[in-house]
Amino acid sequence: MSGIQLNIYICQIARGLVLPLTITVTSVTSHSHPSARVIIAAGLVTAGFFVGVAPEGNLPVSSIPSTTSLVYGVFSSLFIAIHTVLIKSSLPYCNNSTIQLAYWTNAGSAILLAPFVLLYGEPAKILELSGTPEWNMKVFVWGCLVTGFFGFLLCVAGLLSIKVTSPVTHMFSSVRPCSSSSPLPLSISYSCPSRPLDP
Amino acid sequence: MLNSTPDAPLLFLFIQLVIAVILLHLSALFTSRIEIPNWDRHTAKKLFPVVSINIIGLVFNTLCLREVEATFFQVLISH
Repeated sequence: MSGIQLNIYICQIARGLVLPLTITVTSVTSHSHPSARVIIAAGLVTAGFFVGVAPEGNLPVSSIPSTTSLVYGVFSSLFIAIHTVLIKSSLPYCNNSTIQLAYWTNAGSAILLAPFVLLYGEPAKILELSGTPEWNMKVFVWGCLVTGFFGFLLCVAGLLSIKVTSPVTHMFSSVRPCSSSSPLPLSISYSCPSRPLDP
Repeated sequence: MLNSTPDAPLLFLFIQLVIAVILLHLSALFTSRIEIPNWDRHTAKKLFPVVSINIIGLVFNTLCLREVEATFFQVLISH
């Protein structure tokens, strides 16, 4: 298994609970019972998650996903599930316009995130790094542009999908590698040895 | 090679969000189908939950990926 495959594979497992969680959040918020078939499907996915995270004897200890990454993955799944359900109920506030909601989401998220970016001193890290000879400005800028572009497309596509169907259908239909919504420049810079572009 | 990797996941996420906003503004110039909403406190309040949950989810997703990357490189180094 090549690097990127292993990578996405582990991340997919870590994020595997997103479908069962979306079903749970939906049924809690709408006070409805999912059908038996849906429960069976969700149960299978959940079982797959636990099989996936169980340590296998023939693997080196270091290749087992760390507990931290799994905790992050589960939290990520939980918040994405809640978010998906919230989108459906929030659309009326922006005249049922997907684009307007996308705008609010992106602009609002950027504003909310800005203090934390500064708090962790990340701009300073980049500035410091840009002074070193290994720094590749071209890769950085292109990475950011490509990520931004696909992030934008994914955002609009996801919102449209939730608008015309339901949160649960969206989770079933969107085979979305976790890496696609993550910073691509991160992947590119990590990928220096030999890795293609994600997703 | 690894030393030149910027460890700034939140900054990348931030840049990604800003680019999406810029792209929305740009496309609004060409088509009337893309409407940029007007700033309005009432709507902002109503949308606060969905926006904050969105960013929390994205941050955990980013951290998860970074953690997995770290594990993966441990594998590389240990072999």
